[in-house]
Amino acid sequence: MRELNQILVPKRRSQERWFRFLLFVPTMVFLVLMVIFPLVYSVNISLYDYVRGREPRFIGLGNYLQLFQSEQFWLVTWITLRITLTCVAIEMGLGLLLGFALSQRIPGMGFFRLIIFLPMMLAPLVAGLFWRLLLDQTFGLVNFFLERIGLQPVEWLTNPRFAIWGIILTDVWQWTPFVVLLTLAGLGTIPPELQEAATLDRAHPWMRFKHIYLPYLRMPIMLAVLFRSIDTLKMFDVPYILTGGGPGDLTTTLSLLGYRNLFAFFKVGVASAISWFVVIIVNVLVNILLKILSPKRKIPTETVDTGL
Amino acid sequence: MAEIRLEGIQVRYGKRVVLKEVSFSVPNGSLCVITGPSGCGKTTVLRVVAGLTHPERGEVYFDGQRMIHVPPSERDVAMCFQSFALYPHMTVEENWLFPLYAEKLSPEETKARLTEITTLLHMEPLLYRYPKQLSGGQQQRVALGRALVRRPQLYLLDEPLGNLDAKLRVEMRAEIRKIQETRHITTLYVTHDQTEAQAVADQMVVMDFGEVKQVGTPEEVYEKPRNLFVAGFIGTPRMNFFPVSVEEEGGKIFLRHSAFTFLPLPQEQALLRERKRECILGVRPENVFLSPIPQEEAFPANIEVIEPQSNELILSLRGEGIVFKVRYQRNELSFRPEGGEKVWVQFEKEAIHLFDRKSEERFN
Repeated sequence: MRELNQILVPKRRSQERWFRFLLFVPTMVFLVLMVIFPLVYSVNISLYDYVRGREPRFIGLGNYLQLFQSEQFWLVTWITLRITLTCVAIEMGLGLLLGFALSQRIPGMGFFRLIIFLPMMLAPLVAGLFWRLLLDQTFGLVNFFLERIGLQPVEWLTNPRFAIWGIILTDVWQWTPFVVLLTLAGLGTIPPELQEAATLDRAHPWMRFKHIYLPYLRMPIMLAVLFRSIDTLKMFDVPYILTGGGPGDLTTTLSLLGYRNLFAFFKVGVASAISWFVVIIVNVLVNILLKILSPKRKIPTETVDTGL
Repeated sequence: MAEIRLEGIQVRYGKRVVLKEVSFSVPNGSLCVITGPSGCGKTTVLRVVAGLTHPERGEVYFDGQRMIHVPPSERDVAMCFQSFALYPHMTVEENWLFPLYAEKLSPEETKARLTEITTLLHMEPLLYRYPKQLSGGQQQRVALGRALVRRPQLYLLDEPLGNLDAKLRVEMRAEIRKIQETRHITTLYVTHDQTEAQAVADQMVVMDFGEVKQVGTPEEVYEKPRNLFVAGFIGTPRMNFFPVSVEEEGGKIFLRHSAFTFLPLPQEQALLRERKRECILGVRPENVFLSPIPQEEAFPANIEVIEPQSNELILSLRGEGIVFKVRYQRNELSFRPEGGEKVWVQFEKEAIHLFDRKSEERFN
């Protein structure tokens, strides 16, 4: 029996190893086909002077150099960053406040909790259209009400000063509920007896926020900031539908610039270079934000068994 | 430092009634133990007193003042939660300092309190650990400490020693008792461990299914349990119950069971004559005499199991149609009992408990 085991056990082990590998294969195939290959391919393309209909020519970092020397590119980068930072700041602030408000156990709150998530369920394109109509200079509702209360109508989408705020408004309207959702989820994980203990310990609101709420909200806040900044950095559909990037280039985002290069000017190489620049910016910014947001002191998670 | 009074407290979670007409009062500066089996509403009583649970009906008074509408943070109570409820993102020390912020103490006083509680709970080496790095017993001590650093009107301790080992538990209950007496702070103490309850209590409240079954000193509850539930709940091993019929013979009342006939004392004779029904006879295991030779008014039974405890023996005996337990000090027994041995059994007449069979209330 023992001899048999000595033969059978290693055999079964090697079979198991193969089986494990087999389970891994579909994921690998999917990853290579859908993620790794396109990525590598687009890096490759960004190194070519490639205009649709012409023979691609290898120019090394030429596309990037061309971009970095272009004033328009830096303007667009700056606008993208401005939109991102403003949107994330407003959405986080507003989302946290609304989250706290909606977490109160007041009758009827369930209804508000439900409808506040509606904007998030719309396709961004639809939200864009929606706001384009609302903000329309002549027949939009927003200006209608502004006039009603005796203010000047604003050229929301064409005035160089306000156009960017039209974009920000749309994004904030649509994605603040996402922050609210994460805040509510985070607040839901706080054990109720912890709040009761804090009540009996007579902790004042600030202590309560700092020591009870914040530790449980840190992760949701980090997630929200991450998702929202990644999303806004790549923003395309809202300016596309709302302003078309104008007036001038004042609401053009990097993604919109890339899109134009590809589909209007057929500059495939330049478009790829822009996309890669977006990837780099996203990574840098996200890492900076994570550094800022991660807790100052590490709480050990391992449990130490010390008897009683 | 307050006298607590509860009047007709009723609490319902959905359809389930958790507390039914709970009323009792705790004198200023005394320690009241609330005890009862799991799920009987002990914790809910504490929560009502703390103001964390709002009763459907009823009133809570501190020193005669209505407290029902006073928010929990203004009731000045310190609670030790059964689930500990430690702040997970703070060290042991910070957990203890947290309730002290509101007390606005001088730095020296804060330090003194901290040192006192640290030595009391033997937590010196663990002060800078986080709750997750502590064992259950240590966490419980932190929870207890967070209540005891304060000097509130009222301590509410919910199973404060449940997770400690036996040695520490005995030590801690003495410490709690000492602290409570020297500080003279009224304390409500929940435990399901009735030895612990007996050891620390000035007053005991025995509860079952959301109802108060008896309020009294530990001695009263033990010696004069008011009903079958209290009689069975307090004391280990539990009281022996024999359903007996009440019969009159030659002008005397006898309690008759298939295994024995018992002649009660004259004062109980009168009581029984009025009732003349079936009733339940309760005898505590330590109120049973055993003898190896036949005695007057004794009945025979066989020893089935012998469980030696530290200095006493717990014997299970089987008579005709009955099984009951006897507790004996080792040195009090005149003979060496052996399994299967036949002995003669007598009940101590002064220490019997008589209960009505229907209402389960005590009547002697």
